[in-house]
Formats: sequence, structure tokens, C-alpha cells
Amino acid sequence: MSKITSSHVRENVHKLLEFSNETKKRNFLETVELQVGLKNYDPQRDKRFSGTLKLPQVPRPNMTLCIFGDAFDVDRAKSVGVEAMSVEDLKKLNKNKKLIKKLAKKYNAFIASEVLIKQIPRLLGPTLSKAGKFPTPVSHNDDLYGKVTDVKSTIRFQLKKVLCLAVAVGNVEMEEDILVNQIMMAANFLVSLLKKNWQNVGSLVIKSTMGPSFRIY
Amino acid sequence: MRSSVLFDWQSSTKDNWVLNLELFPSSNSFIASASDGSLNGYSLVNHSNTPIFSIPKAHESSINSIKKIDEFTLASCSTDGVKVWDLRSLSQSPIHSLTNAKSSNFLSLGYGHNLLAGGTELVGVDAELHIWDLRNPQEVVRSFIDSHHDDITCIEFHPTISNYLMSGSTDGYVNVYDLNEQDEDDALHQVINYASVHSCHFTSEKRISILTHMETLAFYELNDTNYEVIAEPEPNDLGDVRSSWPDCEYVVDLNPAGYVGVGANSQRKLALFPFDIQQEKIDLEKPVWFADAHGDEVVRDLVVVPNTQTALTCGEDGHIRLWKLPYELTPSAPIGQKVDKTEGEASDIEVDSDSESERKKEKKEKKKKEKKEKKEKKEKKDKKDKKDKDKKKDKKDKKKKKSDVRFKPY
Repeated sequence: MSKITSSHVRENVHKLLEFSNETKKRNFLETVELQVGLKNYDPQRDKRFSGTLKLPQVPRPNMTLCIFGDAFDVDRAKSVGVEAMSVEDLKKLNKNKKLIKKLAKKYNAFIASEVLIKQIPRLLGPTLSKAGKFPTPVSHNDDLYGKVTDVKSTIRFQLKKVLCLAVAVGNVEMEEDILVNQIMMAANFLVSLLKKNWQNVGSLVIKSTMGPSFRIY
Repeated sequence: MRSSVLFDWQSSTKDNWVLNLELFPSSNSFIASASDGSLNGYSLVNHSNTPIFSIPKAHESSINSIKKIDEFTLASCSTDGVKVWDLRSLSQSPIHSLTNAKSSNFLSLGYGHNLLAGGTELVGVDAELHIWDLRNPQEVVRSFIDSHHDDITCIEFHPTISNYLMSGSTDGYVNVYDLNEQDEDDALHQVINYASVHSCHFTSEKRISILTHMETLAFYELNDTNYEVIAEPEPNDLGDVRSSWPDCEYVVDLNPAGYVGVGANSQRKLALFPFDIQQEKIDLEKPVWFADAHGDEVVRDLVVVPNTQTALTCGEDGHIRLWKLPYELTPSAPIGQKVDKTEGEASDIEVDSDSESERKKEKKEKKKKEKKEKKEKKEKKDKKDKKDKDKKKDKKDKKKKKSDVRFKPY
């Protein structure tokens, strides 16, 4: 029993898209964010509120990925147009922290062949984990392109000391319907994890990167 | 199947949340930690709202975690570091007070093989894990500062392989470290990339359970050291358990002893289900309901007291409750110990013939007590009777008489 109606969200999405695509169009692709203002939540005592959510459509299409693959997966990566590195390439880094850090900065996320996952900590040490970019495994049976899309569609949400949480839910080039759907999904999922559900939500706002915010709750 | 309340402890401070419980079976007591920074110990047999052990200002703020070290020692942690308490002592001071250079907020504790490990919150770019040897706690034995990039929420030492340590974090990784490797860069044995970790346990020698903040549960295999070859089975991802378990809005925790606590605070419900650790399956056929549990507040901890057919719960309503369970939960033996496996969950594990007869006596006594407890007026009289009976029984059955005298009320 959601407290936001899709018609109300649609109204605001429409206004948001209008602004970003017509009123003041920017030279880059603006991301649409859902900002949740929480209330009656004590970050010190309450159970943690953090995790990931996979959205139907990729919110930020410009995510860069790299695949650590065995021979099979390196080939697959090339065929889907994703950069790849082999075990030999990783060994060449010689566990040099600086080089690994550079690698971590170069890409938004990593995927690794299932058969290699066991070796990754031994080959690269903790540097990738420290950067928050330890790879997600992919098996030979998985569709590589599908996996890449999955990783790109997954958004992280985390509540820290302040009572506000923001997640990317789409971009201004998306269809209105899809954007509305993604916003509803994200909002309802996040609220389901709150102990008092909607009682813990003070406000819900959608905003494009450079545009004004529109309150939906 | 319903359970009934045997006793209810209420916190004296307003808006206080009781967050964690640790059992001390040899002295028939337990310690509870709370959000007001207090540690209180109560007896499981002589039910009274007066604690037998109390440190009202153990920490300056909410206690994030407590860990039992041995039958008389407890460690706790908060924003003012890690403190180790001697439960026999009458002083309000800890025997050890440990922290890191940044005086970070310590969120989690792990204990094993004389080592106490503490994990911190993310401060800047570092979330640190420090290990102290309690025989010589002045110096840190070693630290891991580069292995997580967010709050370290749980730490567990491997029950039998003494050089393996596991840590879980809100960054979604569960790391297993090999303490025999001197360098942090070489010590990382395995990284499991799952999701923001609420708790992680070694459910067997080679199996790890991970419960996340999104209420998803998965089981992973502990890797062997042959890194070039994958011989391990696939992980078992149960996904979001709220969709498969009844009345589940959140999971209190999965206990490797073989049970899981599941709550739905909006419906004032709490249930306990046996969990087959071998099969990694919940037994939905045998729920234990805790009527009204802690009202519409979240239950933060649930512990089954072994061999007593009782369980303890505590929650954000500031209460601790002792419940009579409708049947004895068959506990799994601690990892590393051999147990005769009997078929069927209803039968008790036969470990000791002595303890079995003891348990039977206890069950008979408790059944008698159950009947009496139905009428409220008689309850008070019967509590007194119970205390007398318990005292006599304690003297006869317990080998250690000293345990009664240990906790002196102030």
C-alpha cells in the first residue's frame, strides 16, 4: 500500500523532463535522482539501511566496465565491446598498489570470470576492495552482455550519518513511463526496508542533476 | 506453536533499546547491552528485575556489540572504543580499555583463540580492523586497514582453523584473512562480494552464511588454498527471504546452532524457526510464535538458552523477555565437536546421559510450573516457591557451588 500514486509521480516526472529537455537543456546527459528524507530514524542505534537495487533500465549508461577473464571470457568481452584483461595482464601488475589503484580509478566497475574469482585477492590484494570495486563473478553459462547490463543497472543506496539518502534512478533521455516505473520501484523498495515504512519517510524528491527538485511525497 | 512469557525485564531509563544478549550458561545468567550505554546481567533462574551485574555507564553512547570471552569475561564496544569487563569484579571500570589512533566508533567484535578483534566505522577513507591478544593487550597484534571501504559490521574467528578470520562490511564484502601471512596485502585469502552485511557466521567448517541489510541470505563455501582451481560448490543464494518466509519483515539473525528469528513489527509478530544448517533450509513446519513479542518495536536479539526449552528476546521497547518454548530446539553441536546425529528434529541430541536425565527433571518441573503460572495471583507465590526449589536443585545438581556466590548484588 504505497503512499505515492503513479499519477502524481508522472506529473512531476513530466515537469522534470520538460525542464531538463526543453527549458534548460545541458550539454551532458543529466541523471535523475530520487532523494529520500528520513525521519524518526536514529543512525546510531537503528539497524543499518543500505544495499543494492537492480532497476529494469540502466540509469547511468556511461558506466565504464572492465572484465578480468580467462581466454573464453576475454573473447566474449571483445565481442560485446567491453574492455578485458587476462590473468597474464593482472600478473603483470605485480601487486603494485599504485598500478592497481590506477586501474580501479579507470573503471566504474569490474566483472571477473567465476573461475578466476578465487585468484583475484591473491593477484591484486585488497586494493580493489578498498576502492569498493571488487569484481562481480560471471560464469561461462551466464550471458556476458546480460551480466554487464545487470551491473550497470544496479544502484547502491546507503544511509550514513545524515538523514538524507540519494539514488540515481534514471536519466533525462528516458521515456516518461519507464522513469515513473523506476522511481516507484526504488521508492517502494527502500520504504519496505524501513522499520516503520512510510512513517520513517519525511519527504521524497526527484531531481535532475542541474535542474530544480520536485517533491513527490 | 506458541511460547509463553516466563519473565519480563524492563529497562529503567526512558527510550532505552536493549540491543544484544550474551548467555553465560555456567552461571545461569545473561548480559544485556543497551543503547543508553549500560551493561546489565540478570539471572535466568532467580528472576528479578534487579540486575546481578550492572554497569550503568559502561560506554558513553549506544553499545554496538558485545562478545563473550569466557565464563567471567565480556567485551563491549561503542564510540569510546572496546572495553573488556571482569564480571566477578565489583568495580565499575573495565579491566582493559582499547581503541585505535583515531578513537573511531567500534561497531563489531570477534573473539577466538585468545584474540579479540574490533572493527570500526568508516572514518575518512579507512575502516579499520584491529586485533589484540588479551594476554598482552597493551599493543595491537595486527591491523587490517586496507581491506574494507565501509563500516565493518561483523567479525568472526574460524572455530577450528585458528589462522582464519572473517569480517563483513556494509561495503558488501565478506573477507577471509589468513593471519599466518604477515603482510596485509598477502593476507587476504578470499573476498565474497554479496551485499551490505548485517551478520556473517561460519555455519560449519567450510560454510559461511551471510545475512544482509536487505534481508537477503546466502551461503558460500570457504575457499581452499588451491587458488588456481575451483573445487568449491556454487553459493546458495536464498535471495530476499521476506518473499519466501511467512510474516517476515526483517530477520533478527541466523544462528549457526540451527535456528532463525524472524519478525514483523508492524504486525507485532516474532517467530522462531528451526534451520537445518546442513541442508541450508528453514523448517517452516515448526514455527514458534512469540505473541506480541515486543509490541510494534523491532526485536534486536533472540537467543535460545540451550537445554532449558527457553529463549530470550530483547528489543527497541526496552524490554527483555524470557519465553517458555513449546518444544526443545535441537541445537547443532559447536563446530569441531562430534555429535551423534539422530533423525527427526523433535528428538534430543544424546550427548550425555547425565545431562539428559537432568533435562528430563527440568522438563517435568517446568511442566508443573507451567500449569501454575496460568493464574496471575498465584504467580507471585509460585515464583517464590520456584526460587526455593531452584535453590535446592541448584545446590544438588550444580558441581560448582561458587557460581551462586559469584555475582553479588550491590
